[in-house]
Amino acid sequence: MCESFCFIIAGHLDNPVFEMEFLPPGKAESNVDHHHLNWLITHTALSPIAENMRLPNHTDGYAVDQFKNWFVSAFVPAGHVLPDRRQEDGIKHFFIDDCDLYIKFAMNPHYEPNSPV
Amino acid sequence: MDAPEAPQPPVIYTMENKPIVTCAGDQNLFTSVYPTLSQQLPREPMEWRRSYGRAPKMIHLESNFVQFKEELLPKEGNKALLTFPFLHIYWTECCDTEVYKATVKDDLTKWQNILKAHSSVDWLIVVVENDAKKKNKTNILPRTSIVDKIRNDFCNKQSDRCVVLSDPLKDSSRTQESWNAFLTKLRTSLLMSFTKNLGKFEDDMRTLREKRTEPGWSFCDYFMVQEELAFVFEMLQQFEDALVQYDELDALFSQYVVNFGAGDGANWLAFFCEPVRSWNGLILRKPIDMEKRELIQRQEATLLDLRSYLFSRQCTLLLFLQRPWEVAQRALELLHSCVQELKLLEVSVPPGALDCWVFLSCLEVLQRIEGCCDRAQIDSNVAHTVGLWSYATEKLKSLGYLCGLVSEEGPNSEDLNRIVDLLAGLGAERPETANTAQSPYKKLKEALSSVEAFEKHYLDLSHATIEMHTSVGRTRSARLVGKDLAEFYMRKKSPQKAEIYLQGALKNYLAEGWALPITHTRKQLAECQKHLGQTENYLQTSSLLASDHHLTEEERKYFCQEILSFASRQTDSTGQKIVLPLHCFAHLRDLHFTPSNAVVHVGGVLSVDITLCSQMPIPVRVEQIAINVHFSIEKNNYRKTAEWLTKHKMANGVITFPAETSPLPAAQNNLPALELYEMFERSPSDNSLNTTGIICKNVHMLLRRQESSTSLETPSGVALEDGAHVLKCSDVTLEPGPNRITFRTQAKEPGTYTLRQLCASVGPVWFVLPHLYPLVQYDVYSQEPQLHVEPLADGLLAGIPQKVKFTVTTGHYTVKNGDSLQLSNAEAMLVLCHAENRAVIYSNTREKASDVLLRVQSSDKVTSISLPAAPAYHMIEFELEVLSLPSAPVTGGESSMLGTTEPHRKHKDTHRAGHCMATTDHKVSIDCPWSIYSTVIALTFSVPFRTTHSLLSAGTRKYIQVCVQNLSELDFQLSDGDLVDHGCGADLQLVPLNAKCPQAIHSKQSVFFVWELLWAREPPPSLRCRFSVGFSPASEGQLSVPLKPYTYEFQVENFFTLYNVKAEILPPSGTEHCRTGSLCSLEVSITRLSELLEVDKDEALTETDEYFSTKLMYEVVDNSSNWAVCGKSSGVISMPVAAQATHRVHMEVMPLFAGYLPLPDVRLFKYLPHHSAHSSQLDADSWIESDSLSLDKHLDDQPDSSSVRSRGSMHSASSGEHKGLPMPRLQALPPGQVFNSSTGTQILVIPSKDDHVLEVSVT
Repeated sequence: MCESFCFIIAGHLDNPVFEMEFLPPGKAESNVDHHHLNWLITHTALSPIAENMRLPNHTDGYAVDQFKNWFVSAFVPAGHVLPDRRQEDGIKHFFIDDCDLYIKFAMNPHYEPNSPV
Repeated sequence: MDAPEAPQPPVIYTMENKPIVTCAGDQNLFTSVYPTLSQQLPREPMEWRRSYGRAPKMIHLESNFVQFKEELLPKEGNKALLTFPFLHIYWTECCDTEVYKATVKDDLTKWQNILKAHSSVDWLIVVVENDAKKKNKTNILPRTSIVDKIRNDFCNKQSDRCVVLSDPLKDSSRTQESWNAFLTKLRTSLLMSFTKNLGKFEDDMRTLREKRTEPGWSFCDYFMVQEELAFVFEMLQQFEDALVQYDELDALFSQYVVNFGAGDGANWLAFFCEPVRSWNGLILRKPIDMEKRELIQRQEATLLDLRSYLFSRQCTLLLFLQRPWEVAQRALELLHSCVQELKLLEVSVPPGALDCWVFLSCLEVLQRIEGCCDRAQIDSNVAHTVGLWSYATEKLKSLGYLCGLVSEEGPNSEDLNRIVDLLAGLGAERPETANTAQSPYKKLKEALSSVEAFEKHYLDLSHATIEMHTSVGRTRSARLVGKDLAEFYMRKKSPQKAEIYLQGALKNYLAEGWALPITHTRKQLAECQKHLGQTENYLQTSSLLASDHHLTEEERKYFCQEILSFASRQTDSTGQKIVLPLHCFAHLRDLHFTPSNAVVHVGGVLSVDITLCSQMPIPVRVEQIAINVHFSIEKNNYRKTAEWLTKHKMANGVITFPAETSPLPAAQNNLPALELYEMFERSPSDNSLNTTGIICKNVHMLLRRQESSTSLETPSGVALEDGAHVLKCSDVTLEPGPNRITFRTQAKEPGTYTLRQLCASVGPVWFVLPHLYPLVQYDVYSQEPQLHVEPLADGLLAGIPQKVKFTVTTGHYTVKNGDSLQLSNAEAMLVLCHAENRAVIYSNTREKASDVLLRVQSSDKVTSISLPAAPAYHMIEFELEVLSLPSAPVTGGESSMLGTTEPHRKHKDTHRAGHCMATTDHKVSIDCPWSIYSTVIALTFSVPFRTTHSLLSAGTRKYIQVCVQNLSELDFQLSDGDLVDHGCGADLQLVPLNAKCPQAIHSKQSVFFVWELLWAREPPPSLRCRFSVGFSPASEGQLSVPLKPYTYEFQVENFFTLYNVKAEILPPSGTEHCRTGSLCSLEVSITRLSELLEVDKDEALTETDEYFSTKLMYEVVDNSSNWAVCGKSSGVISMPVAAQATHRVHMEVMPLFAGYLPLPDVRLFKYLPHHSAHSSQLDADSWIESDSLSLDKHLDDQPDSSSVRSRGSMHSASSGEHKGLPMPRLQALPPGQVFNSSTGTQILVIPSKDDHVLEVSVT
């Protein structure tokens, strides 16, 4: 079973800010079809994420959505949305690290909010 | 307690089991009590306190009362809980001791023994008392005795195990009381039994679970055990607890599967890896699917069986708990995880089988939920079920594709075989749904039966899903389903239906800037548009795709080729232009003009370089690239003058166009900005900071769903402008990446040209950039030829050669060979002609074009400068040396008459106060070849020197001193200072007392020249002198032209000494020195030094008998108040006009201070008789009226008595009637005529002795 991950940070305009694909070792390149599917799924998952966010007690929602055998996890820190595919629980730590990193990045005065990282 | 949420009881199956309570003893008695008992028992809830810290619960107890049999008691090791008797009750009505002893006691003992044998401790003995019976047998023992006996015999220390129930069938308060006590007891006992037995069971179960790492452990066995517990909870209607049991099992199993995936496989799991043979979906309409349960029990269940069974149980419990939406949510999770688990366990599944399973399951869950909810509930909870709909749609779609139901031809034989196989895996329809028309089974079967049926079902599902997604606001999901639908339509060859979905999806992706989905959708759209024959749209999409970096090189080439082949097909026909936006074809990166300031003169050549980044993957030959230019004549002409333009427009001239704002969502950029605030939360007690953070106050605005309605990708709509001015470039091949294209144009009309549109045409396909932004303009101007003459240095100095720069700006005039500038010479200014005058021709941009020799020809009147031939809009620059002849203003001497000014000089000399140089303006009139009018240029030269003269006397010897002051910044060398008298010739001799060698005169310094005046005969009354001195700049070595000497003309008048005045102060007689306060005598002797001269002939002269005398007035003045003149200080004397005639005057003066005191001044005046004194009383008005001619020239210079006198003589006739008092008039003698021989002498005055204060004046 191929364990590939796709990590996308979306800005608050729902636009992708950062995109990265983690492929299983040994697989040099993902096929293009797969790649765009990841994007499609992630994009689609934004709606349920937004819904979750509007719930009164929204937390860092993991496993927000499942789609076409992909699991989508999302991490919603205050103000930002970071949807993602998930396979493992270690993803929480991954998210927290990412969030830290992103915040550091966003603190950079030269960074324009919502522009691609 | 039936689940109240179930409006259709047949669907919800309640657990029919109840905890078993056995009844022994009097069966008839029990039968009579049973109705009341079974009715009363659940009426009141009891609190059930739980072990392991679980929360206590209120519970309504029910029981299944069965007759006691020994078989009912569980054997050792039996784990069944459902059939476990929780309480054993012995019923007796016995009130007779005898009877008790005879039968009841034995029976009880036997019963107790059996219980003990099975170590069952949960029992109760009920003694029913009946008043009726008591009445019959009055002799019997008090009733308590039987109860006591029983308590004694059986309930040692547990007397509460025996309960009395009085008159159970009567309706009295006593009966009621007794019932209540009994029921409470019964409930308590039951609960105690539950707690104890369940606790024990749970312990056993946990022990079993801990053994799961042991080799022989089987999940199915454990499953059965824990499910038993779940059953009991369900039986007690503790659905939550029951659900927990299943969830635990679920989690345990999932963990095993995950571990298996990680390589940690358990033996028992191998069984679940058996190939899937049946995929008949979830079955949720029965509370317990015994069929599957048995499979599990027999350890024959597949993974799907286990999951199905587990989920059906969870579903049942969730529905009991009135949580149907959780069912939907869990179902979706289950379906996804099952698919994953099958993959993880590498279970072999026939293609399509899982799709069938998922499809059936989705529909089953949905129908199950629909079965227990009403329409309104379902509609308001679409958000929970839409996922299932979506999943079902997707699976049906993949089944359709798999089985060839989507193709135009329909399924082939292979597809048909597959369909048959798939249907076989479904098995027969379940009996419980056999009568339902819309059962999932029937739907699937029908959908797979034919192409048409599939289409109908798929479209139904898709549309329903899209509608639901849209209704809950999940537009993105709706788009995704729509995209699938579009794909389906494309397969079905109905692109017109597909287009709308693709456009919708594309719009959405574009709005949010998701690049890959955009690419993918465009690819689909391109195909769709191709089929639809929307040429323009197709070409646009193709160009977008060809420039899309997310596609592979081959794909991009393909789309590029599509455009090119279309273009080549259409060239021959006179088809319409197809206008597409440029940005998908190429990107205009920058533009720059040559000349870089984008200003060009009429007729000049302007080139525009653009960098066009081709986005195409292959080189594209473009037939023409054109820039449409809009021409406008600037109203404000000032701003468009050549000078303004060349100065004000930016220099580098590179205009960079912003890169295309790639997929940033433009439509949403108008969102409000984040409003962030700091937040501090302090603890109320000590005000210390608890938490701090940032709050976004307008979250509701920012997170609001944005439905962008504006289409972002309008197909063309670009208007081609048809301008008269077009910059063109033909036949350009655009390589991928940046290309440099140069347009050249010759400027025609002056004005402003704005670049508007950029078009690139490939055959009939026109790629148009409708607006160039930022604004790009160039200006064309026309300029009149101009001549500028300006000095090279700050100021021009007269007398030495000075360089003057001539600048001819040709403007629109072309200077031909033979054109020349004609300078009409000013007389006092020379244009020096050198052989090697050079002119430099510059282009308009200050680039040196050429350097040519300049021919300058000079004649008396005109200097002609032949201009080199120069094209229009060039500049000719050359320098000429000019020389202004030096001259000093002519001033009169101290006592002289004003000399005549030189009338031929055109220049005006102006003296200013202080050390400013005198300036001379020379006006030069220049005739230019381009104009019939002369240009008049004024050059101002400054005279570097200021010269003053003075007459010095020593007795009768006379000296003339000339002071030359250098006012300029330059140092000069003075040589050959000369002074000549050109009044009367030889009888006057000027003897120079100066050094012969050249003298340096530094900046701001003065040099003095002195001559002694010697004469042989009677000297003339006035001298006209001319001072001349050669000068040259000290810094320059050899000068090209001989310089004219600097001249200074002046007049000296009345220079001959007539009188010698000598004053002497003598101390009082007998003293050696003068003392302050004591009178001294002042002796003044005035001596006439010459005979009668011309100058003496005036009104003061009187003649008596050939004897001439003149009247003089003397005056002794002491301005420094050193002396007090006692008595008359002035007097008139009649001086004989004869040599050595002397007049002595004696006066008394008193020194006021001690020290060396200068002598008081003695002044001598001519004493003029009163009848000639009119002019001195002339009033100011007539002065001014009558002086109009000479006023401006001499008034300020000559305020001395001579001019007064000359004017006075002019006016004497006319002003005769102006008479003042007949007063005599004084006229000061010119300084040259009086020599004061005692000037500068001092006399020692010593302080008087009796003065206490010593005052010493030192002068």
